[in-house]
Amino acid sequence: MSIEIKGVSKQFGAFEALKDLSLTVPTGQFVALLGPSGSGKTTLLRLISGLDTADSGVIYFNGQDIQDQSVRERGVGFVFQHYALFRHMSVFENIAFGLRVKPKANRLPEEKIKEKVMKLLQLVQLDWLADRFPAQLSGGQRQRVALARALAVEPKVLLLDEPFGALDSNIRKELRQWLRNLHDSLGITSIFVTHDVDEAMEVADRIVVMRDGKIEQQGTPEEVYHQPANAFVYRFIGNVNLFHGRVEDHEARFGTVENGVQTDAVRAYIRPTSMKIHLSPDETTSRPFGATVKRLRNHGLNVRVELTSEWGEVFEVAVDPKVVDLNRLTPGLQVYVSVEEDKVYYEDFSI
Amino acid sequence: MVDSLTNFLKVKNNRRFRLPGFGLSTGITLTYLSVLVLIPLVALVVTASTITRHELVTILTNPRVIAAFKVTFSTAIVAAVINGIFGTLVAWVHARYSYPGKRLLDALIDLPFALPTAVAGIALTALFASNGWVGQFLVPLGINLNYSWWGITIALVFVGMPFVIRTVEPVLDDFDKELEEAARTLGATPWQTFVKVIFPLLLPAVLTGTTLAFARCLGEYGSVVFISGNMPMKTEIVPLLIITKLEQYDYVGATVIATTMLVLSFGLLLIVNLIQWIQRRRLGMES
Amino acid sequence: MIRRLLIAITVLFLTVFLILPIVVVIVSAFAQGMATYWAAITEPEALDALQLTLTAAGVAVICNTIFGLAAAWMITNYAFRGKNLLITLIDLPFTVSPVISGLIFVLLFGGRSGIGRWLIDHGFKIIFATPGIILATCFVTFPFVARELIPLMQSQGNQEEEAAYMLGANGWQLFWRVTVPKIKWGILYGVVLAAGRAVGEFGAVSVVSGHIRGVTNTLPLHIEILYNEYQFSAAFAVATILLVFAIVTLVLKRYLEYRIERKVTPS
Repeated sequence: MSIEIKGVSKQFGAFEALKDLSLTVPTGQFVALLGPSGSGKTTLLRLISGLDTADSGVIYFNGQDIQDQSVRERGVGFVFQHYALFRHMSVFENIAFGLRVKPKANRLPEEKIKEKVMKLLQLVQLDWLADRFPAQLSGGQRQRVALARALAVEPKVLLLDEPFGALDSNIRKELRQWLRNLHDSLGITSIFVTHDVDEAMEVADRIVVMRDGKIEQQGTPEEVYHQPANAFVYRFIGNVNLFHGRVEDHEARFGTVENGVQTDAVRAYIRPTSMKIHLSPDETTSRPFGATVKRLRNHGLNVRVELTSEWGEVFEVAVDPKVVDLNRLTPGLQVYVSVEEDKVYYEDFSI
Repeated sequence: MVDSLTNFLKVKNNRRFRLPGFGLSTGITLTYLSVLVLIPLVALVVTASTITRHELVTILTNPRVIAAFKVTFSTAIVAAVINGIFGTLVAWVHARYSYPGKRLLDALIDLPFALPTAVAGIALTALFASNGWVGQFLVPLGINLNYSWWGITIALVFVGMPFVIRTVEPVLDDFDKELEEAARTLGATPWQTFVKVIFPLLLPAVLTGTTLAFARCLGEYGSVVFISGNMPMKTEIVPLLIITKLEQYDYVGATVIATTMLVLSFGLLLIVNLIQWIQRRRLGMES
Repeated sequence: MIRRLLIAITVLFLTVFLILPIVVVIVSAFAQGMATYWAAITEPEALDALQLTLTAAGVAVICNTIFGLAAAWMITNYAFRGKNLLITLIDLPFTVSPVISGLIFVLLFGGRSGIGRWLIDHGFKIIFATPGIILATCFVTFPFVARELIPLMQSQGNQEEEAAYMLGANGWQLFWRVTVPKIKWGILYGVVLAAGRAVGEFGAVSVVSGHIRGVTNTLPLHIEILYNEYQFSAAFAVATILLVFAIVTLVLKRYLEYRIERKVTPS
């Protein structure tokens, strides 16, 4: 089912959570709403579900205006960050809940309900826990039950509010892959809110980057990573180095200034992975600049080398220890740093 | 003496030190507790044990005594249940809705707790007796609360009111809104949400409050004696019976009845606590 | 709408059971005019009853506060076996009905027991006299202050006291300068509850007092006597004194709750 959001705004007291926001989600897509806290992503999710109402704007499900429809009528599945499982009911009863509260006319007979619930439990690989209570489950298990519960009523759209936010990072990684696979097999339109960039990148078909109630950019993970629409997106998606420069002869210039004055007219954002360290300037064809090694830092799969540029700015370069011999990068060593020019993001204030 | 006390209580001698004041605080605590509470209660038990089985049976099978127990327990249960229902309702309304004057009424809910029972007794009689402000409207309907079992029950409803409300209110205030939102997204109507999600989680508090109200109503004297008329066999409550026996210097009779009352109340409370403990284990297997 | 219906039922229920009793007391008290009212509350027996009530309540509150402080100190600062038993025993008077509370003192100090006879022979009258009333009142209000202070002090912990001790403070200095400031609102709250209960106690005192007018009547007992003699307005007049006391108790209680910022479940 496709969703169209048009010009939606929402205020809480004096705080504007959403400002005239528009977004389209085609059927079956897996969309991530990504942004810092306060960007409005949870508000947007709640407006789609009907748990809150917009101050202005329209929301369409499959072209139909659903503003007057109550939460129950909209047929959305909602997964909460803290699971919201009914702790006085067993896992089975939690999942069966949506099926049991249907009006008599639509209600399935108990055996059919049982069938459905067991199938869902198998789908989320928890069939052996059917009679346990939420208090006896781990966080990851609880979230899977919450998901199964939401899916039981065959919602037209699945909304997930930071579903893995309360879980340990390794469980998080496991579950996000699992969720992606689930989505692929079910094909259900899904919108999920997160502030974890890696999560969004790994799992979503499309990422919607939000800030202060507005959409900064939407696109595939590759688009958002490699073609950020502005500095905020660039900074948010990956950690970056920031260089200050100035405009000279219509060109951006960085480096030492003769009269010692550095203006802030231009900013360059370069990812640590877009630069390379060379021991001599001849090793590379692009124009490298000089820098001094400060120290090395472990960063998981690669190593971050902290350097001071010849004009005094501190920055980091990512280095693959399998390719570069770290022993040769001693603190104090003078090296040369080249930049992949097409991966630099410039922000020009003077224009 | 402090040393032997220390040993008796097996006070842990931490590798750290012990704050001063142990001797004094323990001395005051244990002495006062013994003199005021333990010794008098022991006196009751001792007196009770001097009673022969024959006396015991005679006294307890006396129709007037049995009637008094019936009146006391039945009115207490019914009043507690009424409080359970209406108290939950009031807690719900005060937790979720607002209306003009709510703060005043909410503050007054503790009144039965603060008001001397004698004052409550005469006030309730003035209200509910057949010529009372409320009672006069009930007479044409055939309801005469004077000197009646229902009169006692109404007075007990007043006495027990704060217990349920004050126990349920905090639970409602802290109730996780997301549970209700989840139920809504799953298609439940407000009524279904209340019955299947909210109420089961309220039930322990409701039961606790009702039990507390019940315990209080069992022993109640002052609020009840005025409206009940104290007619033996009909509206005589156990506490009054005890006093009557004392005034007749029938210490044996008074002791037997009092001890029986204590045993029955303790027993009942123990059972209810047990039920609640089982309930909480089912729900609260949370870490 | 259901909401309005629920609110209506609630308001009706609360008004009938809470507002009306207050109103009926006040109206009945003045039903026979201001003069009758004034006479009733200034009558010597009423004043004696007031004095006895205040005395008994005052002694009970002071003793129980000292006890509460001692017990809370003991429980918070030392580890010993039987702590749970102690706490349960402290709660005991709550579970005993008022009349039985009075009965136990009659059994202990009354003419029938050995102790009682010894006391009477030596001229000490406990039962049917003021000391008995004070004892019964103490018993009934025994747990109030302790029950407030024990959880409060336990949750506050004793690290500040330990720190002060290591800095050289002695026991009393610890108590007055470190502990009491921390718990002062808790003490006040317990005192207010205990005082309210002590002033209003009826059943236990009724048993123990012998109802001797002018000597062993507290205000509640005096009200009972007036009522039984069909002096309704006088009874209600005296009742207004207790009503004012109750409302003051309520107001103080609310205020202190606000200061302590917690909800207390009744017991």
